[in-house]
Amino acid sequence: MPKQLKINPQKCIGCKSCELACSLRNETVFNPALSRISSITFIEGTYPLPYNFVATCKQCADAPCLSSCPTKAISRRKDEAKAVVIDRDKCIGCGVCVGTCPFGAMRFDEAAKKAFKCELCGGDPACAQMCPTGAIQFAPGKPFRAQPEDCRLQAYSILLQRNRTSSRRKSEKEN
Amino acid sequence: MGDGYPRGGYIGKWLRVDLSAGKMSDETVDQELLRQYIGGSGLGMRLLYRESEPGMDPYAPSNKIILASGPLTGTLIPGSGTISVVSRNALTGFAAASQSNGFFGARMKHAGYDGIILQGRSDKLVYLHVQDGRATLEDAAFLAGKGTYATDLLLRKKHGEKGFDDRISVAAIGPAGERQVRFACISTDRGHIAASGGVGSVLGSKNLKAIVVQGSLGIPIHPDDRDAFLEKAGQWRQEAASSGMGKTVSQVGSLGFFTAYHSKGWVPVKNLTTNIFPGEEKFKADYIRREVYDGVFRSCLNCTYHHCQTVRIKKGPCKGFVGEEVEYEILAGFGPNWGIYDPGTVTMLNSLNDDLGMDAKEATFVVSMIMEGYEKGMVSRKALDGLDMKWGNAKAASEMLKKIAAREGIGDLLADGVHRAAQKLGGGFPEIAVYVKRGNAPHVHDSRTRWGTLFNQIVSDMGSQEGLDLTGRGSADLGVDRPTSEPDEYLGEVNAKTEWLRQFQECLTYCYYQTASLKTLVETLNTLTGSRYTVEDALKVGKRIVSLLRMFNRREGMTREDDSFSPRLQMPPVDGPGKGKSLAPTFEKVRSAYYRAAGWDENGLPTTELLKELDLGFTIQDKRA
Repeated sequence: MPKQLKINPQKCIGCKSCELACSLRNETVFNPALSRISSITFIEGTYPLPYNFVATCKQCADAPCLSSCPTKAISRRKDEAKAVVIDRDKCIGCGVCVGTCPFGAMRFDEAAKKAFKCELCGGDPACAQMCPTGAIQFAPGKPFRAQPEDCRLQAYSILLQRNRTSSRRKSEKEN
Repeated sequence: MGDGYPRGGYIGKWLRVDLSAGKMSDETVDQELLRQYIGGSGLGMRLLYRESEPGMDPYAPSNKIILASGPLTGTLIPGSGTISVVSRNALTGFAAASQSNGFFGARMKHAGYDGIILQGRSDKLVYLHVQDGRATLEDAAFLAGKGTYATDLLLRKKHGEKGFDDRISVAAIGPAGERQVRFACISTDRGHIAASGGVGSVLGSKNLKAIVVQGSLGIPIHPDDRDAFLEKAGQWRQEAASSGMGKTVSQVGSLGFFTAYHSKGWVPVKNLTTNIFPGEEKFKADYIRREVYDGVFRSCLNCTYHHCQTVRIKKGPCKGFVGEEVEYEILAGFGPNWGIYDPGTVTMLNSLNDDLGMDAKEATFVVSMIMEGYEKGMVSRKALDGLDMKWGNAKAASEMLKKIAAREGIGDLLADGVHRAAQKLGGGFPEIAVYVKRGNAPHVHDSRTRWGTLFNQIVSDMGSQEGLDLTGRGSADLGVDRPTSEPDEYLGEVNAKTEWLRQFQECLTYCYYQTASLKTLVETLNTLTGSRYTVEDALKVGKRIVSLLRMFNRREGMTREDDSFSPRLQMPPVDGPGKGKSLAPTFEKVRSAYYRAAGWDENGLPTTELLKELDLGFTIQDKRA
């Protein structure tokens, strides 16, 4: 079985190490805004709060980003982890993939005008290394196939909204 | 260190805000100062020294208050969301350096600045908003009188958050800061507190209610250093998690210290009138976490422990209350020190005090002083505005906290802190007041036989603990192989060294729970910034800051006589494990040994040679003050 990032939000304490580890490994900078993994801490509402949530790309077996890309810039790597990856040279920055991911895992780099996502750090994800509680683990698992109920979490719609907004801002600027 | 220093870690920009003129400007800090002071409270103190006039009132518009991060802030170092706050101590007029955890330090850097210098006074209540290198002052009338929690949430919402933490941090004062309660604190990210020295009241004196930081700017690292830094950060994390401190705090929070401290006689009970605490069983960490409340984790940036929690009380008079789990000192301060035997009530009192925006050290000892005085008939119920301040009366205590924060009735007098309040109350009060120096309440311990903690704060120049307590352990970093278990000259010698270590740590700005060996600290710093400090160099940085703090206070007229402690702290415990012991009989000897080890003269002042050696030549003129 390929190794997957297995995330258990119940173990997350909201320390945000994963975001910093991700941006350091992938962008050589400490900047949560450029992280491929998102840690969201809900702070308003009724107890039990805060509620900590972490999510990144699930490398779906039937990835909608992959099939929706008009330039075939998104493909599945043929290595052990079978990560879904983006060819930055082929990406034209149209932002279609950002809107099709129901988990808000596809991000958009406004400066470079390219989509970006978790590609499992090439097989040794920094977020899992730095997670202090074991909420994020890189371990063998079955390929992920999304069910409708998987997509209903409020946190996913927040992430999707956040990504869509930045993608829209980009197209507004162009027009 | 050649050209291109620093290689990473710093943003390279500071923000200066003149509240009188409503003017903002960007500044840079000289490379040489970064090398000598690194960041955090050390660098903040150096800037304050430069920009401070002797004898200045802490509440004068010209007084500065400085928020400083360090190069490791916002990186992968555990607890590196911390911020240092440096100013003039509102209780003593000396220096104040105070730290708060959470995320604020990191987010200030993402907003574009390594630090913020605040000066002047706004003519109406405002808050400062900083985002991606742009700063504005905004009207804060809608926040007037609001607690620190409400202020935080209102400002998050105003700047775009929708019920979840979206990388905004708020540093806020509560009503106590607005009213210039002399021990008002600054609260960051709801419930993390820069407590000491009344820094919140200094913000209040400037009519600045809060500072909001947000942004998406990156903290740089040189590409060649990336992998090495990841490795160092991993090492640091591992050392922090496997330390003795790490194991306890990770399992049960700092509540876990209660049992051990109780067995040593270090738990403060009823204003130090006794050392016997009958409620000990109910204050055991396991019991509290199992029986008193359940909780969800709420961590600071990169915390490697599972400790801070938001809890809901399951039983007792505060059943159903939701608040933050207390740290050990507050458990002791709002529990045994007030004769309160219900940890749920302590949790409620702590949330109230945090929301009002006050330092728990000063709050506990000012209220316990009143309780003791009331029980002994030294002050009437009428003089206390009708509050029945007997031991254990949590309702009266919470009313008193509110009165202090509002400076209302008797609260106005107590709002000036333990020392000033005792002087004004007169009679037997100065005898029972718990404070060091010219009026800082100490950390919340019965420190009378916790020699390191006590001595350390007596000679501290920054308003709280300046070094480490080694009463019960050695320090491999300092080559100290046996604890300072007696009040003798060895205690003084060791104390000097612990200050160098702690003050170096203060420059890095991270959570001290999560510390690693000095070697790992230095190597991690070198990896990120390109500096080439040795362990000895690092201790020299600390030594420089210790002497700078001393010269700052010397300029304010401090003498050897100010390295002192109140009569109650000199009085031996009447019972318990520490019965009959006191630092008082040997104090002069310990102090002299400390001065010698620090490289200071018999008056407690750095020698001219030492000042030159530490690049502190610019302070020599102040020796004559």
